[in-house]
Amino acid sequence: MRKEEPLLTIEDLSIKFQLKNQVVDIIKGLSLNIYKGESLAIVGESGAGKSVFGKSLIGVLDKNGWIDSGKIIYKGMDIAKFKTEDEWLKIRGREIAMVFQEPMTALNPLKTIGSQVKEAVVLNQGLKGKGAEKEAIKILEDVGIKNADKLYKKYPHEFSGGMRQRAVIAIALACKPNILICDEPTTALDVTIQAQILKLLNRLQEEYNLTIIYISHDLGVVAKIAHRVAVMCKGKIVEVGHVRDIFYNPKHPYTISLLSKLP
Amino acid sequence: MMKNINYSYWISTFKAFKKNKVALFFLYIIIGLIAFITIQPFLPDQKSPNAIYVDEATGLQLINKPPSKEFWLGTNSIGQDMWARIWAGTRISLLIGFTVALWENLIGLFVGLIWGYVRKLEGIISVIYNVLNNVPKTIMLILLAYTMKPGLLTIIFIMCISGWLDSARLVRNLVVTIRDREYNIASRILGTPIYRIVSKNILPYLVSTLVLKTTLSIPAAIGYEVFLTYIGLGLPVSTPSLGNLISEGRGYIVVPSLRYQLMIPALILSTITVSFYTIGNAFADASDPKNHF
Amino acid sequence: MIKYIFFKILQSIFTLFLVITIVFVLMRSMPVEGYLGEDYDKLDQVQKEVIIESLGLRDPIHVQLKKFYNRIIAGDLGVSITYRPGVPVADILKSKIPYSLGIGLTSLAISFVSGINLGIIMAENSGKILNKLGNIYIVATNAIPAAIYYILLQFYLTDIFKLPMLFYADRPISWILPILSLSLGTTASYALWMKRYMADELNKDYVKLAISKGMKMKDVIKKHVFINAFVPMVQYLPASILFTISGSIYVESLYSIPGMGGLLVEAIQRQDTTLVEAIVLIYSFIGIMGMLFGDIFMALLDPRIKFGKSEGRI
Repeated sequence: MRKEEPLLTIEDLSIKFQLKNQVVDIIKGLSLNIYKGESLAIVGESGAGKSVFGKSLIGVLDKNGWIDSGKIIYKGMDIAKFKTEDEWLKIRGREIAMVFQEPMTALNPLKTIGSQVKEAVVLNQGLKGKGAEKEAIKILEDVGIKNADKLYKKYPHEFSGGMRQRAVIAIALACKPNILICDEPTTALDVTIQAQILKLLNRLQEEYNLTIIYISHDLGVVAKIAHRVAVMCKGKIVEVGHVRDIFYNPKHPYTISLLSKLP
Repeated sequence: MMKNINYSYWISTFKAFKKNKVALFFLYIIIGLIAFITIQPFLPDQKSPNAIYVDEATGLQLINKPPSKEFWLGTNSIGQDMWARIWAGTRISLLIGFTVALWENLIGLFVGLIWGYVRKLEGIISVIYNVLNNVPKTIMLILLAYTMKPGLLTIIFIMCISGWLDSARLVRNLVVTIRDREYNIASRILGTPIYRIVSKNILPYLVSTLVLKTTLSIPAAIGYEVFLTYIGLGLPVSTPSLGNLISEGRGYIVVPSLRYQLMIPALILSTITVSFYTIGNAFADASDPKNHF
Repeated sequence: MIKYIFFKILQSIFTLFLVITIVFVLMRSMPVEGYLGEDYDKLDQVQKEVIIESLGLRDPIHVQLKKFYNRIIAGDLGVSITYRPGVPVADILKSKIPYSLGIGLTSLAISFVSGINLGIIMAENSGKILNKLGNIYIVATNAIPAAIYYILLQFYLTDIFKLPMLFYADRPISWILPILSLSLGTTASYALWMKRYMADELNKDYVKLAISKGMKMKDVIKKHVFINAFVPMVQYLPASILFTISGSIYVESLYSIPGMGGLLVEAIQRQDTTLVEAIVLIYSFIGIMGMLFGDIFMALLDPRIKFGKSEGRI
């Protein structure tokens, strides 16, 4: 147990979805603490609700989903109770930013990569025009896109998969967030590119003292990036601990079964 | 097992369609209408739609007579029985609609299949398609109707040869999709059975797309007939059609007692087009697997 | 992209030639006597032959075709036979085109603006009454044949709003109804497609990403969604031009507007083949140009097209 105050506390969270004729519990009684500067991985099989959880932290749940009960405490605010756009605007970007899973659909195909990064800068860093453009180029270089000033004007379909994901990370970074939620960012990528992206995220975390929530179903990937791991099963956290403990000393039967599926 | 996959698709589509009460209502109307106009000529006391009726006493044509026991909907401006003409016109218009819809989609299916499947011809057919697609359809219809002898066959013919492009493109795109998937699967060496399952998934989709297209082609064809007749290029006056009736009745809109000569054909025409439009859209929704549960 | 535009222009030229050829072939397939017009009865066989020969109608087909191409490209649209015998078609059209052009373009502009705005409003208000009313309007315009609602509108609205039944060039109030009727159908189409495209875009990931950056929803719609939904709308421009042309044929007759549409109807009635030929060629030209511009606009607006088609679909 850590002695410091957690940055983000989730208490007994419950999220429901309306599907055709029924209401389904996707997240049920989820509790979790996230500490500043750490890299917490949330693992579980596909469909366990990990993405839903991530999206609920910035209020981008699908239209047919909602937070039914529970608390999400961040800097003294209960995010779970947010209803209006104005409330969410306090959090989105500058406090919590998100890296999406599929970079081709996360980027607007009709706008240049540069303009999309610049938008994040303008919205969150108070810069405008040329100043914002310079900052955007700097961030693109920072995520490993060389010749960023030339590639600034290119469109998403002109980038490779790995570069597109770097661009999405750049957009999130440009918001200068405290917490970075990564929703399966490497799932759609090649194995070799995966390694590069993980290396990038590790470096960025150190450089910017980011708190990373890393969502994945791939335990192998998790081992490379996480300090702590939370195992999610059917909408609840069933086990939490340091990455070593989880891998070498799993306690919950579900965790054990997950590990056994590793090659 | 494969039969089950196919079978349940159509049953689900049917069930989803039945849930749409409005569409069902219109479907019944169309069925009722077709049934009625089929038996109408065989009912007692029906008159010929083309015969001109003359007053026996004066020898004058019975022009624009109001509805009576003899002429259930009165007579038109040259003494023909409106009741008979209206139903004859509906018959012809629906005949045109169905025939054109059927043939232009059959031609489209045929061309689309060749276009998508025969690699050697794909390039040239694509070029031909692009050039033909640029030709404005309405203008072509006007031109063809002007130069050919007016008649039922002419109208059906010219609409068919200008209308097959869209279905050809639809079919061709679907065939290309199957073709591409075939290669994906072949490269995974999964063998024939999976390929068949995939085809069985694409084929129902192909069928339902064509059915939808055909359903919507019917009101479009009837609409074109009305257009051509209005310009004076449609069916000759001796062949009653909804287009003819509306054209003839148009002048009487200002005469309250004769207004019905326009309104009734207009109402029938609108009912037909609204029905097919609604049925078509409901069918499109029902056949979308996302709406099957 | 230059390559793409170049090919599209080439294609349009092919289509134009094809249309000119078809017009030629079809027109010549009609009885040659049609070119004699009203004098038909007054002339004897010899005189008829002289005239027919002088019109070049006895020359071999390929000679005729070549002469035809040359004539058309030079802009010579021939001489009217029955409508205004002997008068060059170009002169007749000169006075008619401004009316059709004016009404057509105005109605297209109105449809475009109203349709797109209506579509946006409907996408933003899904489920509410405004949306349902919009849907009824769209279904009604699509399902009821234009011929019918043109007639009904003229009849009932002139009554209710005390508007003139016919068109007068010097009375703007008489312009309202024709232009409005003409724009109804196209407005509905634009509204329908805009709504669909916007609804589709609103579900996409890049919208979620934009929101997660801290952008306000209304800015997201303005800066991201609208543009993405608008670009594919350009493909409907050619279709709406054609619809406006065929609509104008109806509307001009109904309101006695001295435009090309009304002229066409009269030319057909009087069997003035040269005039019909000329009008058909002009309409085709407009239609083909419309498609070309639609394609070019798409290429300019969508950066993906610059790189050719990625999938096999057309």
